[in-house]
Amino acid sequence: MVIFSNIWNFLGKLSLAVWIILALTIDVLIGSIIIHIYRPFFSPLNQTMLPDWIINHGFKNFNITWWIFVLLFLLFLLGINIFVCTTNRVVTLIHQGGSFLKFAPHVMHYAFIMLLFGHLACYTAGFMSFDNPIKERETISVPYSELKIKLENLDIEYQQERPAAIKADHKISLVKGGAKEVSATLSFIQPDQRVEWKTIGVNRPIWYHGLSFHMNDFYPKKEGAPGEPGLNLIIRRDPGIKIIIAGAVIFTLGLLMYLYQMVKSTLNYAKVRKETFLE
Amino acid sequence: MAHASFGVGAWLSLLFILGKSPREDRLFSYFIIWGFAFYTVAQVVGAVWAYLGWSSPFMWSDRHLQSVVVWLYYSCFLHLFLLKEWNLKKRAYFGLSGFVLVLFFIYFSQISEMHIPRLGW
Repeated sequence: MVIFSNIWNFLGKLSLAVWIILALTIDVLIGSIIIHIYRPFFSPLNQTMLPDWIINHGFKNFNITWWIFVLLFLLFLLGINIFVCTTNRVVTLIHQGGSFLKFAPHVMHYAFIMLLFGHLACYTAGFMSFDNPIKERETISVPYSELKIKLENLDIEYQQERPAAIKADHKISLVKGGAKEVSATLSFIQPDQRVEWKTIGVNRPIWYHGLSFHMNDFYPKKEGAPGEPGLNLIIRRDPGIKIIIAGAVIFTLGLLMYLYQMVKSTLNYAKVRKETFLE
Repeated sequence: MAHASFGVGAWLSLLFILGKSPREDRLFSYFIIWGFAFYTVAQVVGAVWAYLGWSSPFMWSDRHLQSVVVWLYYSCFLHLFLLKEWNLKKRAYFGLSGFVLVLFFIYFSQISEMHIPRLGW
């Protein structure tokens, strides 16, 4: 029991939290430089699940991937540290009573743990299928599912006239004939042949039976360009996303509570300073 | 808005370090906290955008990791007041250095295009 108590106290040290965050900052900074230099090497990390990437790339190129292992370890340690620190503090605050606003930092801390869990689930559970080309009128099978999808029609609206405001700015590459708006109708065919229709667009994914379908690319890019019309889809089953959304919402609420409390104390501080100045 | 708040926070930190503001003045901290709040909101909105487009709220790229670095750095700043040895002056130095990091990342893409010789990793 004494050992457990000592470990709990060590993990709950505030100074430990600060050192872990600082170590994380330095580790991610190094990571950002390594990723910048070895961009093509790291791009599969966005297209596969983390365990697969670690086995296929991470272990084999440890000289440029070590910072990801350090990152995972530090995040694990930070998660435990935040949980212990926050729980210790919350228990004390509950006994003290008073305003609910004083829990604001702890709401953010628990939400942060949710975000860590969400990302862990996002990268380890479910599946990610990155490259799913589908031509107009073509039917393809959805990976890890008995579902089939058919691209019923693809509607690409092309830029007809370069707007006057954009003509002046040569940096914007919105040229005549470039795509302006893309939407497509997909039919979802169940194993019992039941069919449902849904519309997909750029940044307008479809959620269907626990799966999400994102439009990653479309063809042709320019009006009249050769090639058959079609899409490239990202298909995912991501059990972590709901935890991430909940965590982000709770974190933001905690932040608003904290800011409200801070504005109140700032106004009091300004009042005191003004009074001191007048005296 | 986040960058502007971090910038004002850094300027006030500098005034504090130079002794041109009252000794107990922690106004730089308030600006940095607002900067952190705006930065967090930007991260959340960006994560929603990334999820809708690419199916993942976070992308492994240098730009995304730079955002994480800035967020972590300032979250570290927010926790420094809990440690006795980190007095206001040390925290002012920390706040000032944070903006150097922010400026470095803002101009990182331009700097990296200047054909700096590759490090031997």
